[in-house]
Amino acid sequence: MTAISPTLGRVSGNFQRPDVASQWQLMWWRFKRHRMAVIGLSVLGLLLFISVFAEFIAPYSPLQRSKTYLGGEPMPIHFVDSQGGFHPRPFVYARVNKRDPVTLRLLPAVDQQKMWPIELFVRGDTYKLWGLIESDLHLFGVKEGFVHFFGTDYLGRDQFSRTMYATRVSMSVGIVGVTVSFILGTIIGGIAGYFGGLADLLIMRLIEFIRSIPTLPLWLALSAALPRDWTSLQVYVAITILLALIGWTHLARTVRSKLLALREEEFVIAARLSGCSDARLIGRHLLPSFLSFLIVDLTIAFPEVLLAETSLSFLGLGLREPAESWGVLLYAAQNIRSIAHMPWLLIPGIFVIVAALAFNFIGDGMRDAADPYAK
Amino acid sequence: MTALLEIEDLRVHFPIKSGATFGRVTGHVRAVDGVSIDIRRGETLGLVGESGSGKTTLGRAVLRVVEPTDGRMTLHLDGRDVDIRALDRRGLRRIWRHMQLIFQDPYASLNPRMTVRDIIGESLLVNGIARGADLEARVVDIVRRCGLDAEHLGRYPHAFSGGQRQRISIARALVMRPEFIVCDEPISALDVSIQAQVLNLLKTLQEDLGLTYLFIAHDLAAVAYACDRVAVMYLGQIVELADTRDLYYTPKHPYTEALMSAIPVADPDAALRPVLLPGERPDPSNPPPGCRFHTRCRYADAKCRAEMPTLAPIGEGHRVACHYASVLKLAGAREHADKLANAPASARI
Repeated sequence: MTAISPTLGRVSGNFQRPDVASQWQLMWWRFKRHRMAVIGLSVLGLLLFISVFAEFIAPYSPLQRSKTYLGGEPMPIHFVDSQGGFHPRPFVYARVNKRDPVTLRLLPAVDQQKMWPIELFVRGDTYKLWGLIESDLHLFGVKEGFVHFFGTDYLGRDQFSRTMYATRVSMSVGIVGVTVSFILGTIIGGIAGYFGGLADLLIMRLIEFIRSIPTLPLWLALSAALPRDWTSLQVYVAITILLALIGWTHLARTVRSKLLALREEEFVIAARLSGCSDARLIGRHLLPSFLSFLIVDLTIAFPEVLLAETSLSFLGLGLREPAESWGVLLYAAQNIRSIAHMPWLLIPGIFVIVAALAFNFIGDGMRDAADPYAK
Repeated sequence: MTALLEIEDLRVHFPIKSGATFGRVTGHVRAVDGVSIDIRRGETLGLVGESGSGKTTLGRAVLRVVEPTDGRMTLHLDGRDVDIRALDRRGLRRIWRHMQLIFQDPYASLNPRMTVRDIIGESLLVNGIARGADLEARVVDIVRRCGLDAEHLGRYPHAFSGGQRQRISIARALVMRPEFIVCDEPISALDVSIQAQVLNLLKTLQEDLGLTYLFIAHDLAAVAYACDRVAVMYLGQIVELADTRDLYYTPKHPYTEALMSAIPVADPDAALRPVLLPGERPDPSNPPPGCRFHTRCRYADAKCRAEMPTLAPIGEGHRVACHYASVLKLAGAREHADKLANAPASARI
């Protein structure tokens, strides 16, 4: 369709085309006016960046233990030292282990006399970025001592690094889960809505059945069915697919109802009369008419999958150690002793909340932007 | 003139279901109930009737956009006889190159997300008729014939007025050079001034491209202007079929008479006194026995209530479904107009 004859190309060359904004442009303009949605989009961008470059951003490998800093509290960054002197290079105070005079336990203590400056692009643990590029370059780190922004867990693993790796896993479970749901929902909902009749009847009853099962027991049952001797990668893939297998129903309903409404539209009948195949009719005429609704649904479905994964892992039924996901990290913060002694173990929870909120705000903004009747 | 399309005893019944999913069929809406009609090559056949009489359903059933329940439809294409009802999906796609539809609503019938070029060229592309420069040339040609500017092909439908959109719709229907067009109230959604333009355009295109039209409308003045023959539909059946002149001036069916009396006159003082039909149009899922029209006909008697009249010839090319067609003295459009013109001033307003 894009091929233009030379003659016509010349005609349209002389013709001053008025600036007509496409639908996506209009949507983007309206979206930009939604402040929270724009913030949500930036946060999402940051999270995605972290997911892609987790090895590079994390100063340590997620399994490396800091044997002298077990269950250590977060180390704040300083620019100003205790004497009031300003340091252009940020630093953390050094830690020394002191023996508690009562319990005789070795406890880390802040040594304000000594500073460990934080440097950018330091060499550290070697890793393989995306399993391909071998490197030992990290975004930041210290040459002397150690740095743990989010503290360490009871084994001395760097909570910050683990959270970065967990971001990758949790985000990818969400994205892959939503994508698989989207594909399933579009195809199954499309069949129901476009062909109607018996197919529609069966599919809708199936959806009602799936949705009538309480979600948590269903997840539990399905994840309990996963063999315990699977590697964490296998479990990860299985959990993702499992969440998608339940998540498609909502999207399928949206697709079906939109198709049912659009199927009888005159422009669709006209396209049929023009000789369009079913695939072209759906892909070219029907889907574009409600794609914006679908995208909104997707952004709202994302936190659901994210929270589902987190809940499952938190209950110990989803991903398991040594894999990292936000839910796995939160699993460590399950008992009151951990929370009382190491409240920083809850930091991954903030990531969950922020990610879910970001997606909800984006969804809000997109819904408003896609609504042609919005002011 | 030879017949292009022969329709025999066409029926379209829509099932009425009780309940949403497991409902049983409790009856049928007889939208089209036994229509037989020939459409001659090169003519414009008007199809008039009130809302719900089955005009649109008949038009769509001919194209199999709506599936007919019963009957035969034969299209005569250069020596071949095509049984339209026997076609499978592939056959339908092929026959749609020869028969197309122009819609009533110029807003709903164009995909708002496609450019005019894509809308018009789509059928050529998907049917593998033309592509690239050839496709462009054909699109430009038909667009010019339809009175549109080829420079505007890259625009989206929302940039056009109703009349222009209807021209786009016409161009889309004609780009494959079909022989037969069903015009489903093509002008009823347009301004009066634009209506005339579109009617003239349809006429010009008919002469240039040798088209045959089935022209569905309820505007009797437009039908009189555009059509060679007119069929009057009532409750899913054709009650009268004649040359336009005969039908308007010497109607033979009481329903046609009532329609003719309702043609407005361009005189603000003239008090229109149409033949008022008592009662309501009966429910098409439960049509009355005998003549479908007897519940509202002022001439009806016992025979009409018991026996259904057939569409029988009464004169040269004039067919009517009324037991008393040869007896009744009915007033045509001219008498009604005269009555209005000669009414005393006191009777006006």
